[in-house]
Amino acid sequence: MTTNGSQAIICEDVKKWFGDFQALSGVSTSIGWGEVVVVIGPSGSGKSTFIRCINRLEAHQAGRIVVDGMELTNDLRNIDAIRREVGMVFQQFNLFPHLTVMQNITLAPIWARNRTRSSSEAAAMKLLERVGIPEQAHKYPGQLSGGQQQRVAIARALAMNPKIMLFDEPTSALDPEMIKEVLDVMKELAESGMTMIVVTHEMGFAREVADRVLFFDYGMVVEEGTPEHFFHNPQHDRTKLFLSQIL
Amino acid sequence: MTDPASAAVAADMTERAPEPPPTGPWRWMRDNLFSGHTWGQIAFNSFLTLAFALVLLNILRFITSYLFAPERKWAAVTHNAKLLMVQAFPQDDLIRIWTSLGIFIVLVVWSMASWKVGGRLELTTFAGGLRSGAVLVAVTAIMHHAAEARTFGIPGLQFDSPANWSSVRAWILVAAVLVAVLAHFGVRWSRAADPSPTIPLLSVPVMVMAAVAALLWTMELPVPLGQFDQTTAPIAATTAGPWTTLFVLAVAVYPLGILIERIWPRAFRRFLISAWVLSYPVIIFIIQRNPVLDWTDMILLLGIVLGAGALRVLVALPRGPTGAAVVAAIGLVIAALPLTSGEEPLWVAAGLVLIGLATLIAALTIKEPVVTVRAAAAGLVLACLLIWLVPMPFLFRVLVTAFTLFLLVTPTVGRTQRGRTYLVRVWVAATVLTVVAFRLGATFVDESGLTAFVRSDVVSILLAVTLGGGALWVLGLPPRGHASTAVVAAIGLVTAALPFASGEEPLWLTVGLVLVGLAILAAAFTIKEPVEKVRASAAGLAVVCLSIWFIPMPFLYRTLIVAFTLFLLVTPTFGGTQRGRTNLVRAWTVVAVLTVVGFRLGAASTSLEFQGTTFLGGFNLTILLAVSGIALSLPVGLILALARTSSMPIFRLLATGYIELVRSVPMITWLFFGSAMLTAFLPAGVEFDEIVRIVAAITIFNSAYVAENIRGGLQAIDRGQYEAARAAGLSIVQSTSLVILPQAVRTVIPALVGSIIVAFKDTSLVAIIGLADILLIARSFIPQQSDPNFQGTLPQMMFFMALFYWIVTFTISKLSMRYERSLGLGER
Repeated sequence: MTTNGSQAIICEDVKKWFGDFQALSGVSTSIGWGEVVVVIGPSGSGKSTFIRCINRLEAHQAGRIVVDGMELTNDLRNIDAIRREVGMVFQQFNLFPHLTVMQNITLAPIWARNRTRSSSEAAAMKLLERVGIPEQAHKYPGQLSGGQQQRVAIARALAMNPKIMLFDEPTSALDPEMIKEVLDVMKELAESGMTMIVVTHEMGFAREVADRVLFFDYGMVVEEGTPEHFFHNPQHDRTKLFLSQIL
Repeated sequence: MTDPASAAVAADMTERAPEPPPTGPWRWMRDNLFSGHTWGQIAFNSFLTLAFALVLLNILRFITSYLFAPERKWAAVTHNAKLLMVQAFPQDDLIRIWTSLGIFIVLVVWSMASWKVGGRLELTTFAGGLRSGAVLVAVTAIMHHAAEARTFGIPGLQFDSPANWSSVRAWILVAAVLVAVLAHFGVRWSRAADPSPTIPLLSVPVMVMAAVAALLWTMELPVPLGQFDQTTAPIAATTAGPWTTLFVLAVAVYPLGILIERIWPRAFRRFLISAWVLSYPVIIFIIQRNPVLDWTDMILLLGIVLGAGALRVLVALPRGPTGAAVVAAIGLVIAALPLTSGEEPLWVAAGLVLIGLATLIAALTIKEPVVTVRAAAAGLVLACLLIWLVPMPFLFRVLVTAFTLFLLVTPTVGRTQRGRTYLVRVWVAATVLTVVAFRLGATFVDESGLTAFVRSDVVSILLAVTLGGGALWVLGLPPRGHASTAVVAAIGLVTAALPFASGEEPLWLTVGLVLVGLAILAAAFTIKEPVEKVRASAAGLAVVCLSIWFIPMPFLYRTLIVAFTLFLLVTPTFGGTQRGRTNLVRAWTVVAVLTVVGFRLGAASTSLEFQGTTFLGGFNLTILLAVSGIALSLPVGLILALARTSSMPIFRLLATGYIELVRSVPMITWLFFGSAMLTAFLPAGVEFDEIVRIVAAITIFNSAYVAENIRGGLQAIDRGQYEAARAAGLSIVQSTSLVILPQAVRTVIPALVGSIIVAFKDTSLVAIIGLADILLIARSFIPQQSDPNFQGTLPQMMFFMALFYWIVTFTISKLSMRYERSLGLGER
């Protein structure tokens, strides 16, 4: 995999408003290749907006975002190029209900990467084995459980061979029983060296897998550091309050 | 974990659901017709059941006594069947109608074979249906008797009436009762059997067709007798024969379809899709109309082929200054081509050439490929706009503009193999439709020369298809490389030079063309990159093809040679895979057939003595209007819906304005607009046939409703779907067409089917502007005939029309219900 730039993602003073509400008020951070960053924070703190800005599902209004050496601007070609390199997994899975699992996974490789059907189906089969559900390949998403659907969504994102993976609360819509199967897949992915940004409320995952934790509130990074530092020795009062409420 | 409770739960899960309680007719009646817990309830419900049964029975009695009353002259329907179906279509040429029907039936049957329609039908369902049908026939037979015997009251009491209890009716009654009883026992037996017996679903239509065929040869229909009476006579063999032949054809081609499906499943399906697409113009314009073509038609058809091939090449160009330059240069030639008419003022010609040159310079100097092509595109658009100032046939203008517009999207669409293929396909469809729309009103000639027509057509088609297709296939085979490029280029040179064999051209042209060919060959050998080489030769060949126009020779040959040359150009791209080669040959076949057929459209013909589109009338016209109106309004409505939900205000505004304007004006106004006003909106001298104008009006009207239906579906799709598609790297167009639209259209199928049914019924409004659709013939032509037998038969005709429209629309809804059910799988 060829990577451009020393850092996978660079954000400089990123700001974003929804009407009068300021969702991001100056986020600056950079994420290196192979790093697993977990973003936590209370709801409404701008975590989701932040990662949605990284593949420009939302457009930031001030500051700079550079992904894989390309700056996000209004230039459509840049955005398309970045989206091909950045995979995303959503809270609500967002699988395409009219297509089978196999078609869900092969759709983007065939159309956006110009692969042949047979080669992308072979690749999709490998991905399904990796996420542990090869036998579901020809079912429709509606016939799968939530955990299986989310694993298909991960496989769909991986099918484009992304350099960076974004997870937007991937386990929040799942039954407790199914959370583990999704987290296991994500752990395996992190161990394989994928650059990942994960918005989650799973503190166990953050502690175990993250290289770095970003704590968001009021649309900015309040505190960041290793899980070690973050969970055992938080500096900021807001972080301490948050941790005392959830732990 | 192994506590007894969870074990019991586990055991419960494996247990089978309890058997439903036994059902039977008595049980069913007890539950549904005479239900209740107390005697009072039972009495009340029984009273309701009996009362409504009596009402129903009397409605049925009313209908049947109306239907079967002796003074109903049904000969008005049966004797005028031909008039209703095809109006004034010449008797001698009815074979054309039957051929059209035959093509339709073969396509339907083969599609059923290819899409594996069928499966098994539960015998219970079949026997149940048979039982209901037989009971209905038996009741109708009794009602028929009652109506004829003029008895009113409870029908059972008139059973002993001695009057007119005809033997035929008695036999029908006996047979119906027998069938009903047998079917009833069939239902009971198959319900008890395990596994429940099934029959092939397709055996039902076969049985129906056999029964209809038997009726056709045995049944007697009313015919007029003398002036004021009617009698019955067997159906004429000229009606029964063709129908029986069609049924036999349907049954006979099915195994053939299955066989082809087994051997070439994919090819067969693709053939069927193109056949469905082609069948419509072929049936209307060639089989039914048999028109005359003149030189302009041939030029146009050649234009189509040329456009397709050139596009195919142009989209394959690599993006960059070279590609942009070639696109711009060809655009320049095309934009300048109208200048050869020589009628334009000098400043226009000079201006156009200057614009072209500016475009070319821009293409060569601007660095960024996309921007280059866009600049070239903008220049070409300007050129196209200027074309309007140059005197030339309107259709030419339209085609040149259309081609330029297609050219603009080549950089985006041409990026993928699939995009290129679709672009060419869309171009062919768009141009064929345009030409056909313009030429619908062309006149007929009444010279007879059917044998010559068939002979030359068949020979031309066979030669073009086999020789061209075979050669293309072979040329696609060799591996890509220098040697094969040289071979392709050499053959291209020969075919491009072939037209010179006519020997009528001036020397300088021959020499010039040969030099151009040699230059191409030289270029092919010197340019390093193999693909580039072939592309350069391709561009050269396109220029050669354009030059061919100056040499006198039969146009059909020209066209085929040009078409073949153009196909040659794409062999390097398509020849790489087996599938590509097959597709190429198939495409060549379609193009060659269309070309030859197009050229021979107006060959000396049969005795169609009428002019213009009056050959269309009756149900034939209704079908034409409905199919064209629906087929055109669906895509237009789709585009409008997308525009109205677009984030770009200009599209949103335009679409909203269009929809609100169209919806707020009655359909009849739009029909008058199409009939009387549309011509005034077009440039002077441009005249479309009235049917084309009416189809346009119907499309304008229906598309607004279709757009609103689809918009409803679009709004029902979760935004996350679009985000997921975009995040996966699909473009806006791909996300919309692959993810959003399939789901949106699926949710609105019931509403769309509603629109389709309304559109079908609304075609009857064309009677107001004087087009003789089936309803106008039934309402006015037949009751007003001079034959006193048919005078004042309006009520019967309207009764028949109601039945007729009901049968068609009910079939549409039934088919859509089946389709909806087949889509149900995997829905959320």
